Amino acid sequence: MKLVCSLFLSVLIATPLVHADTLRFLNWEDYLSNEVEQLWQQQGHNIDTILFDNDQERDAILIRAKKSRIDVAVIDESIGKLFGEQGKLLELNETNIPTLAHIAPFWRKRCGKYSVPYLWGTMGIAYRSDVISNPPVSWKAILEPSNQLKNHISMMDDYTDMLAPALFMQGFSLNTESKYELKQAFSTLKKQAPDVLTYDYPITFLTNNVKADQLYMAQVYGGDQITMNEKSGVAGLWKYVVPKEGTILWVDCLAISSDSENKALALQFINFLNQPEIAAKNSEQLFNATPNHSAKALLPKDFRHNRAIFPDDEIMQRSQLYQELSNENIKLRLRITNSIVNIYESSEAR
Amino acid sequence: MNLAKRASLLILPVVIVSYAVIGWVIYEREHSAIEKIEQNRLTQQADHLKFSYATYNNFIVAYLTSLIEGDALSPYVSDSSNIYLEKMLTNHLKSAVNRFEEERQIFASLSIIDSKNKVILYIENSTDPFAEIGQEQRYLAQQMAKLKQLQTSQHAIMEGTSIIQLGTTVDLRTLTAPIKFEQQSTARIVIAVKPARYDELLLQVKHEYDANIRYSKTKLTEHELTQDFFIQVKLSKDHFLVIEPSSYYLKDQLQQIKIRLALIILLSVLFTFTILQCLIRSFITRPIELLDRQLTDVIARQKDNIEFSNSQDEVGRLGRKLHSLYSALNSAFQESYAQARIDSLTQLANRVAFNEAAMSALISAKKLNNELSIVYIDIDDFKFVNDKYGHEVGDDLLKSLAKKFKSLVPNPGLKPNDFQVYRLSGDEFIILLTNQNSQSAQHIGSKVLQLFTNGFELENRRLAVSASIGIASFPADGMRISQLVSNADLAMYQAKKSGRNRVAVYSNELAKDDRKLKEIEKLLQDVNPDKEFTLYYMPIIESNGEFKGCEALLRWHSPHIGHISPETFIPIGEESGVFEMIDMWVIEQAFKDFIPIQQLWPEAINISVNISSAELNSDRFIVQLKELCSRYSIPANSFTLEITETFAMEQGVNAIQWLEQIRQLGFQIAIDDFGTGYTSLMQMVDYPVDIIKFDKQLIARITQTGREQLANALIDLCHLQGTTVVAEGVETLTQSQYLTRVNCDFQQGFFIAKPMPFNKLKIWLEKNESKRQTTLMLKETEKLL
Repeated sequence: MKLVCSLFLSVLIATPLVHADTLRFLNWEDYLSNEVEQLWQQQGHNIDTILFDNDQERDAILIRAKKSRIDVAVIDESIGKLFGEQGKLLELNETNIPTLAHIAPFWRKRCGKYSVPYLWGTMGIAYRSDVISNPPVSWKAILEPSNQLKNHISMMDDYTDMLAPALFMQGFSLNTESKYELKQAFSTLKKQAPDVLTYDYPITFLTNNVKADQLYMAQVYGGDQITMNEKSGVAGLWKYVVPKEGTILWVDCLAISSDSENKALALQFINFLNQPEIAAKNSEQLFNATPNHSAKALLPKDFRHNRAIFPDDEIMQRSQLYQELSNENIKLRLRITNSIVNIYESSEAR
Repeated sequence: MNLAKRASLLILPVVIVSYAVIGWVIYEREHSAIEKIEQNRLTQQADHLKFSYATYNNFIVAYLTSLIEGDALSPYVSDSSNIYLEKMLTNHLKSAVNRFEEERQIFASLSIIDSKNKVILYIENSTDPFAEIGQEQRYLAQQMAKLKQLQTSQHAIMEGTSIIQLGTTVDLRTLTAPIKFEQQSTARIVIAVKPARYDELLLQVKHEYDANIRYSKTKLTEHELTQDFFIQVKLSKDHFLVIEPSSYYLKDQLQQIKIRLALIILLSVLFTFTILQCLIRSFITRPIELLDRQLTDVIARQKDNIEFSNSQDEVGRLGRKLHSLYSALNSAFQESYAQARIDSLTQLANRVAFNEAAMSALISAKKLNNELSIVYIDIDDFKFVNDKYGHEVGDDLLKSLAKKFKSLVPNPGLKPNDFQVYRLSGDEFIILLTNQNSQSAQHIGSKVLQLFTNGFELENRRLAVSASIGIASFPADGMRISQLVSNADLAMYQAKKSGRNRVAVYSNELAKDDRKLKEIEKLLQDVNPDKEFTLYYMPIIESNGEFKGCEALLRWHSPHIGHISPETFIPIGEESGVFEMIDMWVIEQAFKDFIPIQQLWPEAINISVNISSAELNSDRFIVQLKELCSRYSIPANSFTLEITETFAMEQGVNAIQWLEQIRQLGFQIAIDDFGTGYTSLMQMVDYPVDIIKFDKQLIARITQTGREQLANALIDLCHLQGTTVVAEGVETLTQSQYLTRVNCDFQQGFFIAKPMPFNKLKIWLEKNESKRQTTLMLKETEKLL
């Protein structure tokens, strides 16, 4: 409920700023390098950024993109195809975005016809190094928290990502269609729910919540620890690990709403972002891996070899990729995450 | 059974019956009241149920309306591909439920089933993401399709849980009622709610009443119901809830009341009974008991009268009446009591009064260790006064005696009761001397005796009466009044026996003698005369020494106490009345012995026999005497009957006649023991007496030297009267010769012979004859010389 309200509020506030050469960009917080943004603005364009902190929220906004006049959105790989096929997104290719040529085909494929790769990374556990002396090695650390961590952990409210650690821990496929396996994951999460401090995304939580200092461990996307450290104001406070059971290799894609009234500018913006020096800047500053192989070559060596950004092969092998899910599966996963949050809220109420 | 118990027994059943009736009335009222209350309560419960059910029903209707008429459902049906719309619907359902029921999670679900019975949408208000549509919703949808129903509501019960469902048929494209049911776009929206509150209420009712819960499509008629105590409510159209409490429910309630009432009644009965008992005790029976106790005390003489009650109740009145009744009775009693204790003649206290006074005096004497004496006075010869002067004089004598006795004892130092004179009977008086010993009693006794010096003077007449006085004292002479009186009596008797006009003090010897006399009297009663009695004969001789006869003297040898002298047993015989037997035996024995004695002596002889003076005037004696005479055919003139002087003289004219009768039989009469009494010779002139026997003492007196002329005169006087004189107790030759000289006719005594048994008589006769013959020869020789 709170999320929905804040969403509407931000939409309303944003509305008067929109004008012809302003691009409305639906993005995660701190997910565009300031330098890159400034370079784009130097070309005489404006960016009006609408922030979201979970996929569902973003999807909900995208569904009503016309209303909120979204031009470009950072989306995940699975929804791009779905929305694209529903005609909600503009088809993108090297014709309308020439810089796509710098993108590795592996990542191109993942984003599909209606979106192009932006940045990629892993999912793992961020932890407060001042509180937790032994870095977590398993998803169990967060799924079955020790007494010390009870009510000090956060999970993502996302129909795929919330389920992912539970599925990994039990050795199930991230994209399983098995109701049994989903049930197992549900029961793990259900057990965990009362000990969870928040299902808000940690960055948002650390920004907004009075209980920010109560958060010791969080399920995050790799790179977010940088932002979290910035929010805390203590360098190196938050550390990031990828648990041994494996993780998701995610890629964020850029898509253009088919309802956009600034399609040309939007295409220009994506093309701009895929220029190798821009992409490298963005990657380096955001601490995320870039799918732009030309850009990667431009990155400093130690950045390229940072395992938290570019995981080693072992983790890569154990990692899973998002796959397209059936509508029914999505609906079930939605129900599951919905239930978990309900359980969490009702236990909070108590 | 006392009053208190009787009252209790009377009250108890009344109390029990009263409370039982009250209890019954209360129970009857409670019974109907409880039925009414329970019916009302049940109705209220049913109303709650109905209200609760209606609330859920209303919720469903309101939710359906908001779904269809609001914007909630239309985006979903128009864009079923939007995966987030389902979540929005779920949130919509959740908020609807939350608005309806804030405090609890209730189950509600929304299903949309298409024309092919495929579930298009199923969401529910739960945390179970895997939940699936229930059978009931599918069934309802199918039924609706089959029956072509536009809208229907249903109340299903699955495993005790109610589900209220509302199904509505819509055209998915417009969300309005379809024109044609067969169209593909026709779908059924089914909303289901689990009415948790309703179920809870119902369960509560079911448990409370142990009720049978039924649902019915129509309102049930009376014969479809099993009992009177029930309720049915309309939950919705064609849907009735019927609650039939267990038949035990009311019974149990009533049973509880019964038990409670019974307990209360029991306690009330006990309480009331106890209180009533206490009240009756303290206000009714206790006053009666008090009165009773007082009366008991009054009867026991521990109280003068019962207390005068001032109470105005019946018991008080009864008490007052008893008080006055007792007062009247008591004064009457006191009067008669006093009268019963006063001798009317002498105004002295009588024997009854004596016994009472003596008893209490004895008790106090015992208590105080004091002495107590009794002076028993018997007037001698009172009978003589009566006989001689008549009873009036006798009465006057008694009155005068009483006065004198009373005046003897005025001693100011003594309390009035210390001393009292009582008249026991006739001529017997008693003086009770409290706190006085035998000596002071003897002093009083002697003072009494002084009154009788030279007889007693009454109205210028001197009466020849005297007093025999006996004294007995406590504790020496007895511990009981009866004992003291009888001992004083004994002493008095002793005084009388030993010569009258004297005082005798009871003593152990006296008692012993008395006991011996008593024993003799008893032995005499049972005597076998032929074995124990014997006759001794004492010869009587003429002055010339010739044997003229003998006096028969009775000797008694008892096998128990040996020889008993006639002086002892003859008076006893006279007193105890056996004298007649003794006399007759003696006479008969003398008759028997006559012939043998006659055979011993050829001359005419005479045998004297003593008869008791008590025989005087006895006709029977004469008859028996005649009879004996004829039996033994003895010559009566050979016998003399001797009577003692004292008694003979005391008798009047009758005695003279009686003696005359005996003489006419031929017997001679002799006056025995002449000289011991006061009878003058002149007094005997009138008596028909043949012989006078001079007593031993008289003989001793007249045979003193120089009394010859007196003896001569006496004997001459007797001779002049024609009576023969016999001297008794001749003990010396001098006496014998003297008597011969003064012409005494006959002599007897130890000088002549002691009394002897018959068998010794012969020897004596022979001896005496030879002695006489010798004397005679000597005399003749003297003459011749």
